[in-house]
Amino acid sequence: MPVTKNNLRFEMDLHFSSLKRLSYLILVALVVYLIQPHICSSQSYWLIWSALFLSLITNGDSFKRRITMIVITGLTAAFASFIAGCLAPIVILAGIYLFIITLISAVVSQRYPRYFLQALIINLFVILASSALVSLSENTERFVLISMGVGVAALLQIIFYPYFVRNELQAYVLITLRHLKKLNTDIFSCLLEPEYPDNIYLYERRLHTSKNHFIQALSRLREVTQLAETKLNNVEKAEHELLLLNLDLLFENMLDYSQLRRRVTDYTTLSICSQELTNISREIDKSIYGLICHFSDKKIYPDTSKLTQYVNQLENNYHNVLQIASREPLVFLLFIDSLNAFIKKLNELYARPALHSGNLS
Amino acid sequence: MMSINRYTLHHALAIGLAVFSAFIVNHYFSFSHEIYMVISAFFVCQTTRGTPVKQAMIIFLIMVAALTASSLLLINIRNYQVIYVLLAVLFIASAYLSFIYRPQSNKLLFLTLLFSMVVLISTLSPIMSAEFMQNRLMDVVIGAFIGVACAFIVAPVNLERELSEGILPVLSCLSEYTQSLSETLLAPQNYKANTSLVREKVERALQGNLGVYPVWVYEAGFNRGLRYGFRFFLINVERVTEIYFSMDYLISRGMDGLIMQGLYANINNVMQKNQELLSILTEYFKYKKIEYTQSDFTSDMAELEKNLHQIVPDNLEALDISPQFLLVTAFIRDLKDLRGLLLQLVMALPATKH
Repeated sequence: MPVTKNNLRFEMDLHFSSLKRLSYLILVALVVYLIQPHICSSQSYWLIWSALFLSLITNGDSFKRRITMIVITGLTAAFASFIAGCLAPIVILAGIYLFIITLISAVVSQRYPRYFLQALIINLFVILASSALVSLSENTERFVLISMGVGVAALLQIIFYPYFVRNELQAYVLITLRHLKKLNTDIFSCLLEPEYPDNIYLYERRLHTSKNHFIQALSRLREVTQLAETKLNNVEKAEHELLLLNLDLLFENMLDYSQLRRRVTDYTTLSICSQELTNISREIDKSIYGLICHFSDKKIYPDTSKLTQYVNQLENNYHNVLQIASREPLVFLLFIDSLNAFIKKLNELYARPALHSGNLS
Repeated sequence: MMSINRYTLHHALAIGLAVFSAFIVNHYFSFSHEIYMVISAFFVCQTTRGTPVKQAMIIFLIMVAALTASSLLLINIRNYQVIYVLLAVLFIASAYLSFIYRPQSNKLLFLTLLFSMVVLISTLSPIMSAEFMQNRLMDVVIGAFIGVACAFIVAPVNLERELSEGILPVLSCLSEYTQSLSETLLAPQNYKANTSLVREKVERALQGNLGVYPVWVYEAGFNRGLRYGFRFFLINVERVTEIYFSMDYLISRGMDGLIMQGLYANINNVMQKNQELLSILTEYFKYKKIEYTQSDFTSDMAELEKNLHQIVPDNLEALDISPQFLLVTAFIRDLKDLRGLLLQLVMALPATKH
């Protein structure tokens, strides 16, 4: 899909909200760079590894939980590496220890996929610590350096403290809507691309990926919303719950109108209304972008007049041509009805007050 | 208590054995006298079920590229500050990229970070041999070989079993969803209470990143012999879930109580037959046996359509002017499509030997 001005603006909005994350990563790298020359140790690179790898951790639904996650991962890695360093001279014991640590990490990351990165970091540190024979004092230095890295990664998390949950909430609203836009694009590509009937698997795979991404983002948004509810008043709580419900409804509505791709038995019929479908697809994209602006409290006043106009054009085409030319005119009627319901839902959402900027900024 | 499935245990044993073997071999036969053999064995085992060899190759090539880049960096740039800045920029770029494109699968996250992690490790760790670039690369090759060999010997994947275990949660959630939608039709005021939790369960069951749903079937290069059958099932199961979401959505729009009262008995009958088809699929994927049934899966649908045409006019102009008629027609059409898909899936089940 060609990059439109709206898509670029949308991506910039999303990236701006991630600037805190970029600042944090740069700060961690900078602090470690400033500290390292003052450390008189041949093992000082462990400080860099520890701080940088632990800065990758983004789990934790609250500020306190994230710090806890970083500290627990870092200290576990430090202790496990210390033991690996102590066992390194006895090859078979070190091998068995590595086996056990690897087994546990693999089971944890399979059973609890959200802790994959933490398990990987601990396992990697243990492997690196098994590499060379070091004295007890060097091993202790290594432990201290890893712990210092934990300190750097954890303390600099303070940058996220103001509005932690609310920033996460806003970011996931935008991410969820981004995936909704992508889903819409993939649905309409099934209707517009002439190769769809000959390459059903390829298109269905793309749809599967888009649906999966949306569902993942929505699940995460649900979790963050539950967390945010402790800090919101009743009105704000109700608004966020309604937002979740409406996002689900928009998704289900899209899946409803996507049924056209299966119900049409003669795909050449779709070429009769391809122009209308292209226009509708583009306008739905713009409408979802309008929704994003609305939730971000931007002074952009979205409306669905053009989308309504194009759906009406499709309806006229249906009455004048498709009703006669199509083998199953009913499926087009159902499709148009679904699109009209989508427009109605969008208008309802535009009419609601934006989520108050004080809550999301 | 933490439940661990067979694949998880086998996979963990394979990685553990790969790391152990690589460590022992590394101790006696390492070219570089560093730990790259073990790191290589460990990393190439970070694969999913679908295309482990292909993924292992990709990981191996990324590692080779990273080691080459790191070696060239060390050979050509003597200034530590410059090296550190380049490493930091690379690491920050990959970390930021993985962050802005969240949520990602673990596989994609790993691949995004792999190059920068290996460059960071290999550039900063002490060099233990002359010709370190060639020696490290040799160690990586041996480690990759050990990793892949262990994965194939210890954890050969039974793909049919993995597919069954992946699809079963979806089928069981869909059974619950059928029940919940039936109850909602009878008492629409309870819509939110009845369906929202079940819908969330279905959404969770469809998420590949939680490690159960078999998204690996979609990977490019998946087993040619099994590809068509597996993908047929997965695509059609997803189409079934789409129809369920669509029906849920139509109910949420509020269908006319009087019309639904007239059709409820037939709809309930159709949904029960759909439940029966879902349980045939569940039985097959659980126990690999087909539950033969004498039920008639066509006349209930025909009866429903006949009743529908008695209540709702079947000409397009009349449907066009009444939103309620259209809504009910859309719902019944969804039921019909659902029946068609479920029958296709059941008829595609391989006949079992007695």
